[in-house]
Amino acid sequence: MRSLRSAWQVCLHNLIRLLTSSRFFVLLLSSFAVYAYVILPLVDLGKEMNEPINALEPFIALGNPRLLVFLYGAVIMLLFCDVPIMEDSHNSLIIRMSRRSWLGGQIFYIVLTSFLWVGMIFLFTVLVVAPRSFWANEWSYVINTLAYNRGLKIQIHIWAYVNANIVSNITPWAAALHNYLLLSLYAVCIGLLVLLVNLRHTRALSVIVVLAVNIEGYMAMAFVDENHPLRIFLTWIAPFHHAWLDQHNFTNRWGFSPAASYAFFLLLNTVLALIALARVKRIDLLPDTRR
Amino acid sequence: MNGKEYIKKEYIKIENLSKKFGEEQVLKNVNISFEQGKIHGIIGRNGSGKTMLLKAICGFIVPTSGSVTVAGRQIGRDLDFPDHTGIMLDNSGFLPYYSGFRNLSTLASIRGTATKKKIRDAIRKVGLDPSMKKHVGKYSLGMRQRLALAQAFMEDPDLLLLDEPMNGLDRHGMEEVRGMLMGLRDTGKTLLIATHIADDIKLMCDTVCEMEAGELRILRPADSSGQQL
Repeated sequence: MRSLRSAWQVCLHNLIRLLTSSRFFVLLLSSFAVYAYVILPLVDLGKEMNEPINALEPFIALGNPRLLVFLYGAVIMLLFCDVPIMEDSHNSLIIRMSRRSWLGGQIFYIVLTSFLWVGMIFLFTVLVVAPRSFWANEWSYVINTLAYNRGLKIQIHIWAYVNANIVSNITPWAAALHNYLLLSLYAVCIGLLVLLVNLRHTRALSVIVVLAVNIEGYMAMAFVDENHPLRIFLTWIAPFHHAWLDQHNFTNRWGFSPAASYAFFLLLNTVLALIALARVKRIDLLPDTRR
Repeated sequence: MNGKEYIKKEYIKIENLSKKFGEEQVLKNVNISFEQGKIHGIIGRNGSGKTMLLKAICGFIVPTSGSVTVAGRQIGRDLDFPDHTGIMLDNSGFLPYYSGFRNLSTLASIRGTATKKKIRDAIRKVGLDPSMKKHVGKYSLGMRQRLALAQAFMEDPDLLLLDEPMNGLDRHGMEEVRGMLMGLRDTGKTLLIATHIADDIKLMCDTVCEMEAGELRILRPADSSGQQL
């Protein structure tokens, strides 16, 4: 019980620190990019077609373009670049708990912030389209048209939509739920990777490691032929691919299905957290600049 | 000497303690014991390793070699951080949008040993008003320093590790804090104070040692043995 209370205090301390930091507000501005490049084009197209869109569709469209998922990874890296937060200001917290409770608090912070961050994006995308959208569990005419009409997508230069793979296999509610969970688990994965590297090394190295992990997934798509064993392997080990909703096979549960991605993230995140917990006994609890 | 007396004499026991960061050696083979119920002063220039020594005693840094034992338990092996210890190092990390009382309540909720009354008493003892609603972010340096001190002793710890406790205090404030620290010593607490203020050493400390480039030198021992501080 005391360990949980300790972990919660560390998490709370970090959250308050994040919410009052200028970095958080800069990252919030990225929402406006989402608005300009994802939401607005869909809304405008709906207006042109005189058809409402589903309130969840802009959020689902976020998990569709490869570049957007890649950029999302970069934003998350910035969000967590300073974990574990180990400033002098943590001294009076740390002395009241064990090393593992302290690290547990940092992990708790990463998990909570990841789910809150994606939740915030979700709310933002829903709220701005709410007045001109519907909530029924069916795809809008706009998205249906975009999903099956490649010519239209090219003609109107729209790049964030929902692909036929998703539209034809799952409902908007299921797609939104998958997108929420996959993006959150991906954020947890990036946060834990940063945490693990930062525990022993400088922050610069964690940036390189996370970028390398992200780029690996991105490059596999760009440079390796489809169905090549290397591409299949790289796809399976890249967190980036597991976060990318459109990559999933919704008909074959034994293929690259959402269930497989949840299992991948749960396993990877658990392993990363356990390694971090094992390492924390042997590290100096000093700010990055002093190590 | 029975076990209890031994622990009293060697309440903090540091043996062959060294710490290296890359090529830089910040602590060089430190050997010393600090007795219970006394105020021990550590002096030294900036960057001499005073704070690092306090952090090693706290268990915040993992020694390259050697060991630190507090109250008979080795830090890093028997426990992560010393039990019943209050610290005031560098910056006490209060949440700027909380009042002083709320900050201390938040910290106290971790151990769950300090009641609200104890927290209020600690805040009063350092000359602050526990009912003050002002956010800590708006506190002066001296007020923050007093609150940090209250944070260190609010849970009635046996050991207090204080790094430059007089920072930011005016003359009157220094006198008040000195009186308070000596009062804590009189109740059997052990205090380890890193300071560069000559008056602190002269007026409060029972023993004094000096850090210089990571090496510890005894200046004023507690007894004639010259080793037992």
